[in-house]
Amino acid sequence: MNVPFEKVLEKKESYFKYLRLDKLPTIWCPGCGIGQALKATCMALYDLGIDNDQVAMVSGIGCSSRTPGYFDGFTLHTTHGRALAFATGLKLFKPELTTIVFTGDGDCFAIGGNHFIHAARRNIDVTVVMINNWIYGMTHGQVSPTTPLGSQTTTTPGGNYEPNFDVAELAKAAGATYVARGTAYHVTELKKLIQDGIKHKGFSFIEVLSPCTIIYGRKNRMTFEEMYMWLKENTIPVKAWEKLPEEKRAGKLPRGVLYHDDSRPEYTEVYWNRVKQLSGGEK
Amino acid sequence: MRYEVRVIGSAGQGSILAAVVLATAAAEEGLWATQTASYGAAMRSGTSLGDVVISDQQIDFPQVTELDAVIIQSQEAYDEMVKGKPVRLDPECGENTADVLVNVKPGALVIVDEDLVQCDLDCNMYRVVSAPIARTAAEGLGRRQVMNIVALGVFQVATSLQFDGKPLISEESFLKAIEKSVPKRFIDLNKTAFQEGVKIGKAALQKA
Amino acid sequence: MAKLELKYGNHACAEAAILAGCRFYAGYPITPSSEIAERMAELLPRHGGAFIQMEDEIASMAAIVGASFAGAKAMTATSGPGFSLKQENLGYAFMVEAPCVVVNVQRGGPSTGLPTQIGQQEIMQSLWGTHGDKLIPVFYPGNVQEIMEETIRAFNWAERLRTPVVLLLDEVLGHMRETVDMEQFTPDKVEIWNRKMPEVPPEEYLPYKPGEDDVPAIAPYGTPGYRGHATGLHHDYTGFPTTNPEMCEELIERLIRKVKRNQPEMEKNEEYKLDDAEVAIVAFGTTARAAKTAVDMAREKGIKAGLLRVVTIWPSPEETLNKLAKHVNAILVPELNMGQYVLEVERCAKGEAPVYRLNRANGKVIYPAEILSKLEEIVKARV
Repeated sequence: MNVPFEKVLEKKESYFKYLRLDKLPTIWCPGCGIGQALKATCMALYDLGIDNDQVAMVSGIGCSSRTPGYFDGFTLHTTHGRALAFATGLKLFKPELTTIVFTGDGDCFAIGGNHFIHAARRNIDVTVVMINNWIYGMTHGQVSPTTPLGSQTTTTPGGNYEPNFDVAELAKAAGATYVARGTAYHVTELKKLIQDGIKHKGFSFIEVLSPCTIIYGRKNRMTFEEMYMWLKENTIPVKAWEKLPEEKRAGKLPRGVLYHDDSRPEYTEVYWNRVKQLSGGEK
Repeated sequence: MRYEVRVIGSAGQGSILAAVVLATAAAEEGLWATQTASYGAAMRSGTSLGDVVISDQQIDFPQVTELDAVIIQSQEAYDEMVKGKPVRLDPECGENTADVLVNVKPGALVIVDEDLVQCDLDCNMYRVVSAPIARTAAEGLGRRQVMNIVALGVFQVATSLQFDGKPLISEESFLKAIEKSVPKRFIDLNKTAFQEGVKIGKAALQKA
Repeated sequence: MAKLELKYGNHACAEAAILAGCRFYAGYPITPSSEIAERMAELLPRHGGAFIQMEDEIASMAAIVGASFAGAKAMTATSGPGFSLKQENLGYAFMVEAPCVVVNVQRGGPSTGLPTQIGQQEIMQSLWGTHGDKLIPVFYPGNVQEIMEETIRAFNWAERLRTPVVLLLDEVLGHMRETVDMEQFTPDKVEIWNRKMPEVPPEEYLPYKPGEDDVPAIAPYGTPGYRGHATGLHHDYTGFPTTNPEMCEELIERLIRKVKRNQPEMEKNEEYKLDDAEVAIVAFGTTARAAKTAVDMAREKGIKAGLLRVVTIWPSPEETLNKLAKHVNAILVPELNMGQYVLEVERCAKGEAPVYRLNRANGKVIYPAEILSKLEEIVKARV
């Protein structure tokens, strides 16, 4: 089970070209799902044939926001919650860069909630990979906007009593034109979801259910295996979900592309077309 | 030379625009100018004013301190300018008391609308020029909104009282300033308004 | 021959930014700075640049740093409350060395304060507002002509030193129209500095390795081969986080030194009748204009007054202020706050001359006559 790190590097996988191998191993805890999301993203880029020099990756603060450090592209590790605002500036000025934002449930929906809904509203061509681990991991276990009711966190002793966001519905309502949910257990599927998100011209949101084994798992008496098994058993592919009677849906979540709309114009395209009309398009 | 002007009226009478046109005209004339305004959060109520400082060199303090001229467009604006009614210095002029205006120099030009402003000013203290400004705008031009520009025409002529018979700023500079300051479709109307103001200004000066 | 044109202060700032090469603006509406955004919204698309009204002040600051990393000369403008909100990302821009210009049209504070009235209450905040140590250039013009000059200068220093620069205006300056001599503002006459680019091949590229001028040559994001990482964490030459104390010390010392060592070149003051002055006024912005008039009024009354108008507020003209203190019998610092820059003047005077203050924070300007009577009071007390 425990493969030495050097052995992993020996494999020379095709997607390794997107990794800053000299910066590995990552800071993430054993069992954490963020690495799976990074791997899925790299594989997606490889299959899309997008070169390192064509990708910008922006993040805020938190465990998931350390991802750009390991990604060999143009990377920006910014302030808490503001990744999408930084990415908006970057993408608007250099629309030719494929722009990916790595964020988490606290970064994206608590402190960064306002930037999220407005980036979605504009339909700017940014792909958001949101690691939902139901907790603030880096600060050791406080309640987040996606913590399930009743869960133990350090700031909700006795169990969480605050309702949580359905982030996929929120993204859709705010104007995102590609909304998907994947998990750290289903990596091949996750790769496909991220790949379609990057391909999609517009605001793409991919929620990645990802176990925080050390902080959330320990507090809520779930082992590494139990957390991954939970993902396996309680997430249902969208097609099956649609056929599932209401009473059987309780406690479960659909997985796959939840919403996709290609009809809405993309923000930077709209803006630069206006500029072209006014100036001839020179910077 | 430092010359300070205030245009004051009820909100919506275009006092600030008149001040902008005046400052632009000064620049056209090759003079230095600053234009400052005072307004609250509400855009269509109360009084509003535009101040202009004109000089033949770069201006230090940009706001007005002692006015050389004031254009008063409404009664509430006039009332706001009045400091009090001390005993008149020169009793020969009529009544025993007269209004004194805030921060207005003795000898300053005071331009008031003949119909809209009831004033009681000492004609030895100020050079008062009263003209049918709003009436000219409303009846002569069919647009009461341009009374501020009519008033500028009166002002242009009246400054000759202070500068040895020659106005401070030429008519041409004002007309150029209007071209630069008002929306295209209103340029002709405003130019006509200014010229009408010059006419009634000349008439008012002859009467006085 | 002067080519005089009447310009609105906030518009002059926007127009000068375009002249300086600004091609990205992000902002959020706030009185009394909104006209800068409105003008940029008009001008940028016509000059092939990007304008965006962001969802809040924090996002605006973030967006200009993002665009700056993409290679843009970028600007945002705000006022008191918005300036407070921008502080965290302003500190980030300082740490990651993103060139950008932040305009703060000062209104009366604290809090919502006096939105449509003048204040000079962010003299200290402009330098110390963000957490952690920082030294950034802060310029404060005194008239509309100088708004244009200082906007261009702000961009030039931002680019040359790869640092955020704060441009302080005040409500009176921003909302004032004034004649500007446009002769010097033609594209062929404006001097433009650009950020330096890496001169090494991609395989040797270390984005945060400083040159001899203490400034690193970071390639704009998207430059093929020159990929890199930037973080608000303490970082090494590669741009990656480090907690190595030697590396952290080197970084913070360099960030401050790269600005500090350029202080002599960056210093800009106006000296007025100081040669034989016995009492000097140190002032800036709109207040300095009242002070200049007050100097003339005082001279008429036989008081030998002079003015040092400070334009480069930070880094402060330490030596100039010290020399001034040795040269005169007393210094007066009038400012529209409860006493901020006076602390710096006192520090630099090192007891060579007593430093008096004249403070006001009620939304009104200080009038020349008020400065004059304070001068009279000082002279009386000193005799």
